[in-house]
Amino acid sequence: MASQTVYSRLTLHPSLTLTIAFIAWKLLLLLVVVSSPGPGYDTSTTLLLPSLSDPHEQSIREILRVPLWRFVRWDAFYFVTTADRGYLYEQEWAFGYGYSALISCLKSCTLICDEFFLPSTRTLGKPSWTDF
Amino acid sequence: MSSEPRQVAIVGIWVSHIGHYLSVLILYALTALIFGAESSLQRAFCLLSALLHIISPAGAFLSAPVGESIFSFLNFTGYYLYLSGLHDHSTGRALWRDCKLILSGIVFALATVVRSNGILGGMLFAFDAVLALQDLFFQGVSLNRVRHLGFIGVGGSIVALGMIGPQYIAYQEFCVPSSSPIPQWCRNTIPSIYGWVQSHYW
Repeated sequence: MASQTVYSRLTLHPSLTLTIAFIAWKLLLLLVVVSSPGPGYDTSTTLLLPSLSDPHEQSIREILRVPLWRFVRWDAFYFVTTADRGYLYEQEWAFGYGYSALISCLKSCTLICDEFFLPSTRTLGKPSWTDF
Repeated sequence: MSSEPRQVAIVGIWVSHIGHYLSVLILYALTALIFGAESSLQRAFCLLSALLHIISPAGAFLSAPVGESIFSFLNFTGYYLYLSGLHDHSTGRALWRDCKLILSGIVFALATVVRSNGILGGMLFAFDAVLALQDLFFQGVSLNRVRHLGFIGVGGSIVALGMIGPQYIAYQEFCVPSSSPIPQWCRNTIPSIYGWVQSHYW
């Protein structure tokens, strides 16, 4: 029976099945996040405004429209600020030291990579590999 | 160090996606280790368990720049290594068992540094320590049993370090005398920043 073959194929190649299912689900989630209307219940993301260098993003409406910033809410806001500038306030210590340290380290690596391999990218205004 | 929240957010999202993906794969392996993956039904069970982790109710939290997905990966890996070591213990391969005990401790410690409820992985070590002590008392002292208990102790202590480490750093930052006033939680018997922050701010 056709369903039997599909079933046995799925179970015999678990990595492939899981990878496809993973990508499909993530795309669906991305779609939901990107198409969610309005500024959202938690607008603490806008507190990041002063540290953004891109003048196009420096208004509250703009920052909340860019899909990337929709992920930086709730706990993510804490993780991003601590990874960016280190721990400052007491309550930030509730958010895992390990993750912030890892992201901070990788951020430095990507910045160094950008300088090494694409030194003229930023000045020419062309997108780099880390741009969305 | 300049402020680059955009770069940080992008890197964080990449890391979270990779962490969640690896977490799914390791969960398959872990389920297969515990329940077996020989028969078609067993494999389907393992596959289902991993598929359910993909559609986990944590939802977008496993994609956003938060520590959850990395923690999930490290935690599952810790369990995998520990159970693999248990298997070695039952087949008499003491060296592999001891190596995996330590490795598992290190991975659980990393998980705990990412998210403090990784400390619960230490329960595996605590439980086995009790069993190993029982063995020692009722079956007599032997080099292998003492060594086994020793490695369990070391592994468990490493996990505890994952809890103590970040709090020690916080202690150095807030409590070591400097020009600014010392917060009241520094004077507690156990000056834990986690305990203070959870009770005061949340």
